[in-house]
Amino acid sequence: MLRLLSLIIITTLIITPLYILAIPLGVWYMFRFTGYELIILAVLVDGYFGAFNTLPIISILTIALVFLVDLLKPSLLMYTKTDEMVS
Amino acid sequence: MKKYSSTTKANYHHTSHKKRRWWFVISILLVLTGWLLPWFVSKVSTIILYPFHATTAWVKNSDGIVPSYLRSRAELVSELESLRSKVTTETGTQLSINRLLEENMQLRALSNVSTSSERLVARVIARPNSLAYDLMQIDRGSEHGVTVGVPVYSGLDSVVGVVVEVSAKYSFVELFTTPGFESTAYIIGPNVFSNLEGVGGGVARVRLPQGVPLDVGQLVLLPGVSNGVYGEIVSVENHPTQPEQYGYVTPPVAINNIFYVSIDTEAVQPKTEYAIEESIKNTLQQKLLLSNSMIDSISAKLKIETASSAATSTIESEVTEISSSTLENN
Repeated sequence: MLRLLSLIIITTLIITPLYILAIPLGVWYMFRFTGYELIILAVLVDGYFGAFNTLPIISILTIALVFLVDLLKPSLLMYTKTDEMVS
Repeated sequence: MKKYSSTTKANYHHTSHKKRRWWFVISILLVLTGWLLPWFVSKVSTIILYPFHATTAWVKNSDGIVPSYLRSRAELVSELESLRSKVTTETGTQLSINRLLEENMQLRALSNVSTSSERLVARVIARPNSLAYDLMQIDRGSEHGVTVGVPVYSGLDSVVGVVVEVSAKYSFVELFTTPGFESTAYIIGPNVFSNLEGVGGGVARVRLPQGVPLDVGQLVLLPGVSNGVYGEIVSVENHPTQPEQYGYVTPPVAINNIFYVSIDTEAVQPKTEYAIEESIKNTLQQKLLLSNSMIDSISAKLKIETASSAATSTIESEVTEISSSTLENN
C-alpha cells in the first residue's frame, strides 16, 4: 500500500513538477523498495515530454540510479555485532 | 525497544542476479522502444499519465472553488512576503494593475493576430524552469488543430519556437534557445546569414567571422518562418585573436514573462531562395514604415518644439531691444 501510494506521489510530483521533492522521495523509494517500477515511470515521463525524439535523460539517469542503488544497498545497510539488521 | 530486526546479514534477501539481469533487459528494451517508436510511447504515456496531467492542470488553471482557493492561498502567501519587503500596500496594487494591463495588452495583440493570419491562442502551462527539459508546455493540442512543426509566436511576429510534441489537450514547444537547436538566421545591419544556435537559459547565439560589423541592437530574423523576427543582439563577444565573434540573441520578451502565445496553423515548410529573399525584403520595408499613431506623436512633438523655440527667440529679441534702448538712454 505504501509502495503504491509513494509511486503515485512521485508521479504527481514529477508531472507537477516539483523535482526538489520528487528526487529525494525517488531515492528513498529505491532504498526502501527495489525501485524497478521507477524505470517504467521514467520511460513514461520521457514519453510524456516527447524526449525520445532527442535524448531521454530522465530514463537513462533513472536506470543508472536504480541499478546503482540496488548494488550499493547491501553495503549501506546497518548491522549489529551479531549481524542483525538495524530496522 | 527493539531496534533491529531478525533479518541478518546472512539471510538478507538480496535481489537475485537473474532478476536484476531481467530488469536490465526490460529497461534497455523500453528505451529502445521509445527511440524506435516515439509516437507509440508518447501515446501510451499520454493515456497512463492523463489522470496526473489532468489533476495538475486542474489545480493550476481551473476556476473551481478548491483550485482557486489553493492558488489564491499560495498567491497570498507570496504576496504577503513581497509586501513585507516592500512595506507599502500601494506597491502591490500597482503591480497587480500593471500585470493585468500587460496581460490585457498581450491578449489584445494576440487576438488581432489570430484574426489576421489564422492563429490559435494558447496559454503557457509550464516554462523551461519548471520542466525537466528546455521546453514550454501550452494548453492546446491536437484537438484544437495543433500539429508537430508549427511555429509558436510571442506577440505579433516574434517567433519563440516550434511544436515538437502534441497530445490531445496539450503540446510541448522546443525553443530556439534550447541547446542544440539550430536554425538559419538573417542579421539586419551587416545583412548576412548565419546559424542561430540555442545555448539555453533563454539565449541563442549567432557566429560570424571577424570583420563583420556585429553590434548590440541589431535585429535577427528567421527567414525560414513567415514573419519570423526572433529578437535582437544583446551582447557581442569579440576577441580579436579569435577567428570568430559571437552575438548573443534574446527574444524581446523573456521566456518566463510569456503567459500567452499564438500558434500558426501551418507547419514550417522548406522555403525557396526567392521566398526567403521576399520575406527579408518585406520585413525590412515594414521596419521603414511608421504607424499613424507614431507619426502623429512625432509631428505633435515637433510642433511643440517649434512653438517653444519661436517663443524663446521672441523673448530673446525683446530682451535685446530693451537692453539696447536702455543703453541709448544712458
